[in-house]
Amino acid sequence: MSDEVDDLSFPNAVITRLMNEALEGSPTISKEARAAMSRAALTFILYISTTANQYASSAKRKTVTVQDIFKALQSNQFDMLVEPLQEALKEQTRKKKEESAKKQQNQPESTVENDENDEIENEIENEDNEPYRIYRSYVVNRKPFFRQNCRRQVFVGTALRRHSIQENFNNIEHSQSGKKPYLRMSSNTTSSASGHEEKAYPVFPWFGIDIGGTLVKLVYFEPLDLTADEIRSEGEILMNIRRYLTSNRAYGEDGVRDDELELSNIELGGRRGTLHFIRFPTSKMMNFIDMCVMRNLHTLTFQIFATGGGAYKFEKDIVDKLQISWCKCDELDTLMKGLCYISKLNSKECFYYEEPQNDANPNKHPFVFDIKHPFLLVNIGSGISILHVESESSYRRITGTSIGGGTFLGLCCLLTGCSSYDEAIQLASEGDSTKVDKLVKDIYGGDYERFGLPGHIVASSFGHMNLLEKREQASKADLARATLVTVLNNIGSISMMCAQTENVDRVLFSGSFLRINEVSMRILAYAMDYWSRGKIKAIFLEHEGYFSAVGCLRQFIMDTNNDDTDLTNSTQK
Amino acid sequence: MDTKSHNGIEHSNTNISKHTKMTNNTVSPITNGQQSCEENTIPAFPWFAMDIGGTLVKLVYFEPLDLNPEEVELEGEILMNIRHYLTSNRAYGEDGFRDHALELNNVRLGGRRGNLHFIRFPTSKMSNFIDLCISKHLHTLTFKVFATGGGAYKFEHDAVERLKLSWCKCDELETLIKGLSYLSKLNPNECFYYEEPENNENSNKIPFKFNIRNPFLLVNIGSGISILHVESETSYRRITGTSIGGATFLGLCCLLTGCSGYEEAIKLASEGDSTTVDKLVKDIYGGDYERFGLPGHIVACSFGHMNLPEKREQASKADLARATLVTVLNNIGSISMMCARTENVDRILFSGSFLRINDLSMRILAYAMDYWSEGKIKAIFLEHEGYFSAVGCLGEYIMDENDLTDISQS
Repeated sequence: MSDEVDDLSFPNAVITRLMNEALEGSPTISKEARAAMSRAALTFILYISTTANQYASSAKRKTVTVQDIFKALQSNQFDMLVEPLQEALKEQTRKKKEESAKKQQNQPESTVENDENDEIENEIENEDNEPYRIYRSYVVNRKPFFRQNCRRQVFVGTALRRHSIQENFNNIEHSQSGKKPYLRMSSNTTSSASGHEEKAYPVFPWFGIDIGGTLVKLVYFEPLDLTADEIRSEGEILMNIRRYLTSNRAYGEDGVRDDELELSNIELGGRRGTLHFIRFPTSKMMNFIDMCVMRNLHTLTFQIFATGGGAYKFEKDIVDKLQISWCKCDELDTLMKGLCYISKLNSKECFYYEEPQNDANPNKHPFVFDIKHPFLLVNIGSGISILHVESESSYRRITGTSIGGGTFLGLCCLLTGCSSYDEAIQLASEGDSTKVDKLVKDIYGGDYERFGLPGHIVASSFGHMNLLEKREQASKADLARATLVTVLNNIGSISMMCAQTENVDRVLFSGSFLRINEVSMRILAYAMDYWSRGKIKAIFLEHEGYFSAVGCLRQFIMDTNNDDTDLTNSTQK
Repeated sequence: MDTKSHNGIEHSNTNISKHTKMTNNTVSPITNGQQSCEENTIPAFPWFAMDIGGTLVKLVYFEPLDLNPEEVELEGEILMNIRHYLTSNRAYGEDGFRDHALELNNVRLGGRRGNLHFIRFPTSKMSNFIDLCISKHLHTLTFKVFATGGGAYKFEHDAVERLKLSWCKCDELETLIKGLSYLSKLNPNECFYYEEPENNENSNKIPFKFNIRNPFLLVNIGSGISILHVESETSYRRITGTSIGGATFLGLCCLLTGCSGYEEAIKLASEGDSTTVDKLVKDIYGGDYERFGLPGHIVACSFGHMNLPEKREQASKADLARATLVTVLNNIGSISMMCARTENVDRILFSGSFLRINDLSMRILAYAMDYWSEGKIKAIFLEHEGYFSAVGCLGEYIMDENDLTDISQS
């Protein structure tokens, strides 16, 4: 198909002229830009025509009419084009009637149809025709319609997935030329302090959001260098949101800002500000949307890059209610991006335990992390993904398991009646899992020497619980502890197998399961250390589950600037 | 019958290979269990082997059918009573069961012809079992028991002291492979696979011609799980294991549903719907997670819904039991797949008592293997599920070359 398509291209002169009309100050348009525009227009025509043809076919007509085109535009959510087109059509029809009335006076035998076709062709060339001018006025004046309706471009991207435009979008860092067939939102052309006039900053507020299976992780960049102009034009709504977010640590019943994770005075996208880390349960997503509506967020025009399963699941609701531009990213891509960024930004981000079993010694040692050496990344969210990472852009997902953080929480709620993660972790830290689990020594009376399994290893999780007397002796704390140990041992075991197979000696653990969960980190560190005889190191991260959200934010900045200079300039001052 | 012409054991492993040869009724001094196992003779009847596992004791009893008149005379009342007691009952007390559907008739073993019986009872009743033996005067006889599993070490002292018998221990994985080798040659219907695992209408258990000489993965699902890479009868290694096994399923079911036995737990699980308990990919994504090829119906997070009270209220006991089963099985399947790929084998055999009367589990495993490997890796199951170690243990002391190369049920 692509071969045929290449043969059909618009005349370059026409493209250039049209683009110049829309852009102020007659800037130079590169060849590639023109080619991209030509291809975009072509794709647009193909797509709308196909849809329109479907309408015609379903009405059992062979002719595609202008109404079919209008319907096709509407159903592909280009509603904003329909209005000016209808106006232009009205104007066209009016003119036609006038002229055919004139002609009929002079030459009654000419057919109206032929003349119509001729005149349409003529009129395209004629810049002064009224319908074209009406349409142009929308573009040139850059009325809000264009910005507000930018969410449509997301749907174009989605609809054209088969043409692998979405692929390009998701793997933006791979397309080195940076040319994306994806309409970029027009931006606030504020001149930055560094004086780069062509650098466009995305509109504030700057958010990144990761909607996971259990928790929503939100990252908010609070600008500290707003100019007087910006503050004036900021508007009350945005200012209120900024104040609300940064002066509270809890929002309603479920929202929490992890203020100890706050990264202040960092540079991002050429601006200076503070990164805030906020979370709330995914089950409260609809409440969150309502709260945004209440704070008039839906009257603002801005863009959010979102990841996690919920970015797909909640897309429709969010776009419908909040009218924002919603750009979806893959959660593992953004995880990598966020990890690279924060590990360079925060020298204390990565750490390991020297003596995991020694509770007296907190011994968190910072670990200088270099992403260029291959490592295993185990992301423990509701479920678990294990990635083999060779560099920031080169990684693969090896395997995963469904026995993750969500399993621990769910089982604890069932077995102990607790109702939150914090409660479950607290219980687990107090319990003794050996009352619940069957150890090797319970079965062998000692070690299983033949295969090097010492007596204190768990042979069978919950292995005692089929006996009534044992169930009666086990407390809630014991059950919680056993659940934790079961989930962690499984993670450790699978991670070990993968590390050995992939021949890496470092395993990084990320994900919200390790939030406030030192007991888990120590258990994992100890298990890795023990089974690998010290060869494989377990490394942990301060910002646990927020990496994907940060990656989204980074993607958002990079996408606008069309580069990744935010990384090289970013140092916490 | 001339006992002296019988060979010792055929293999030359590092294991105990010398055996006691005793004519019937010889009272040999029992100094300690280990020593008497090292002489080179065929042991006296009765021939018992036990695999004392974490949850279940598996007992294999060889009932001789070719006792000559001399032997019958010398047998003595005690032994005869025991023989009759075992072979004419299917249940013993409250907890003992003879899986008579698994009985193998007319087998050749150690030069004798007889029936192999398969009996089980909970390990928690081991003390009661010893008492039972005493009540039947077993301790007045002199014979050997061949024991494997963890309990062979844990209960050695008790058993030897109270029953005064000779206690010969073997390694459970060594005997597992031996037993598998022996039974798979003996019983052509031993190994089978499912053609259409999801199709409940079609029972489709298809016999699988199993050759132990081609490498395969052996996943033994007992209380806990061991995964072995087997290249031949004598060459294998334990790759890994997991503690989330059969006893985890049973223990969690007892806690979550209040059931009190394995049969009850399996029955509940067969009636439940795990999707009210587990969070699937589509619950998180609203559809498939296409980027990494994860369709919406895959479980993303086991028990993932259970942190919400409304979901907990909606989930029935059967749902919880089913979710527990599916969680344990998916984990087994996933780890087995990883191992099979790493070790480059295309056949995985599943053994162990967890798959007893558990058609549901076998189908779930078969389907999972088939799906994730795109049909490349075959899941194979075994009729005698958890009894292989016990059989292998018997074989350790009794089997000779003839038993393994010239196997035919006559």
